[in-house]
Amino acid sequence: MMKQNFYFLMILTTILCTISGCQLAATGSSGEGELVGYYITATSISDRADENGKIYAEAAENGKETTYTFPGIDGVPFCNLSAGNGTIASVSSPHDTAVQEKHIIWSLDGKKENVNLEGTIYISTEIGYYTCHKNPMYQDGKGALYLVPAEGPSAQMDREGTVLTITDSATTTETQSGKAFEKVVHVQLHIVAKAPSDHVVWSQMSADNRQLSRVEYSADQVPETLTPDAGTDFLIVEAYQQGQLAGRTLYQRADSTISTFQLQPGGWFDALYTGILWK
Amino acid sequence: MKNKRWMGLLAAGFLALGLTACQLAEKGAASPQNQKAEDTLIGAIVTVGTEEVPTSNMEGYLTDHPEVILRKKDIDLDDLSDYDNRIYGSKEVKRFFDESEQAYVEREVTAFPQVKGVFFSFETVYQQEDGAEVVSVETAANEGLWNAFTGAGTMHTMDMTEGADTSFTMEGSVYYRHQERVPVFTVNPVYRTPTGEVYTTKGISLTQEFPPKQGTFLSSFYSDTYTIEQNGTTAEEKISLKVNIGMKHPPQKIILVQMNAQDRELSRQEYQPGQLPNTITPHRNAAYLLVESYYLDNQGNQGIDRELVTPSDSKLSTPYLLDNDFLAPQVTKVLWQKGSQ
Repeated sequence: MMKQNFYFLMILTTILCTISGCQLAATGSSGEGELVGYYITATSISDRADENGKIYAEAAENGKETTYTFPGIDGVPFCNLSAGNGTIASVSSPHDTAVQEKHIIWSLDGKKENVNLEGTIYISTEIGYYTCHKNPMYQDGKGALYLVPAEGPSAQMDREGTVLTITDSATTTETQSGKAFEKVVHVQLHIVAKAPSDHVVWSQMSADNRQLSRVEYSADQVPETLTPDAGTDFLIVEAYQQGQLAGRTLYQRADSTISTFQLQPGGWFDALYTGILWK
Repeated sequence: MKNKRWMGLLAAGFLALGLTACQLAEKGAASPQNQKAEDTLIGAIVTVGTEEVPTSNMEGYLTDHPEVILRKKDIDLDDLSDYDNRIYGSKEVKRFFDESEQAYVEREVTAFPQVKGVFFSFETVYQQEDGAEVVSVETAANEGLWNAFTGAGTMHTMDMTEGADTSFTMEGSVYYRHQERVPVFTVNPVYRTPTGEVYTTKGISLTQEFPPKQGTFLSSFYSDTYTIEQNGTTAEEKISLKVNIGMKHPPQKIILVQMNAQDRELSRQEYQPGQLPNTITPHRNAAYLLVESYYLDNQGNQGIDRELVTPSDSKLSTPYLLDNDFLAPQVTKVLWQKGSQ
């Protein structure tokens, strides 16, 4: 019998780093918050914390919508806020599109409610050795939102496709009809190393794999929509950096957008979306 | 200090590691290093419908709760969950692709032949090697599981001293034959008892109204925390399991197309699903491969599902239909030649 041990894992380019650790008290009267996500920053923001080690968001209400911001703190919000009573709550940031493949999974398992928030951000392979400043985000029983500055794991991220995953989980316990009821919140963010690109080439391909057209764009000048030719069955998108091919992506008729990634000063990529209007 | 290897890895700058897993689960009783007092979550069986794994043992519940009949009290669903029926696994010889060996192997593994569904398991095993503790992941054949992934880490960022708590994440996807209406799927958790028996019990059922065009669209999540004893000390081990569920049209044929850097076809080869070779060596001028799965949709129209395979991919997976109407991945290794781009 042979086993895969962790030395073997090191050889793989996929690295999963799981950092977990927050066990919170119940929300509500205790004044403690419920874990709702992360606010990823390029550098430490611990010097912005108050005497309790927290950084509170500013809230702006507009009808039934509440928008939170962390003024002066450039970062990527990744969270699922609860508002209640038909209201909507969100965190506003110029980097709203940095988190890809965001999923929220909810399940009820006997006496336990699980909420699993998962997403992916891409960071540049040019960063090399990367330290994640993950800053867990909490919301207290009164709706106030705050960060607890935290430095996450570090890893060598100079190879395309390397994955660093950070996870936090928090359990709150409530008593309902005399029975303890647990709510477990898991937040999982995959940080994927990606080579930056300065331009892209979109090739329209027929069903029999003939190239019908080939158009080049600067990575920050892609159109908002693309209407493929009538005979186009799929697209091949090539990304280039300084004339070198950085990667290819396939888009099929089931895909409705092309994502073009723009490198930000913080090392992560914001996405520009192009709608595909298939004929 | 018990954990030299863990510490070594951490010194390398990584706090934890991940893998795509495939390894057999061939333990008898749990090893002393892995001893837990409770049943341990090690996997799941995804079934269609809610009856593949029997529901609660109502007779046992009513015996222990006579007030339900005598005083016409409501059944407490939380209490009823303690009376779930169990189906125990058995041993079978299976052929499957072993990720660690990067080859197909034939081994005896745990199976649930009486349950029509996809069974998969990941299991952490603690062992001493050369005086250091090594944590490894073992799996069953996991036939029908796509994108299998496990990861591990510590629950204390910088504290890897004795007794540090550990967190394991397990994840995979299953695909069912595409239907006009989404059936009810049930994710039945699989546990190992402290004496080494493996069983499943009734799980979470889920569905949605409309099927998606492609991909996975339902997910189920389990997590449990255990106390483990290691060399006289105790630590917590948290295990999380996530299952993604999707639907695909079963392919009628699969064509591998080799393309050059100018997006021109170099060659094409047709295969029956499940009949691809174990390895392929693309032409030296091949820049990428297109894997075309030809299918008939629910209206009888032909469609093509394409996958892109680039030189950064060392293998490709193509779908074939299992007897239980789930689709399994057939793995083919891709041996790129120097010069491919």
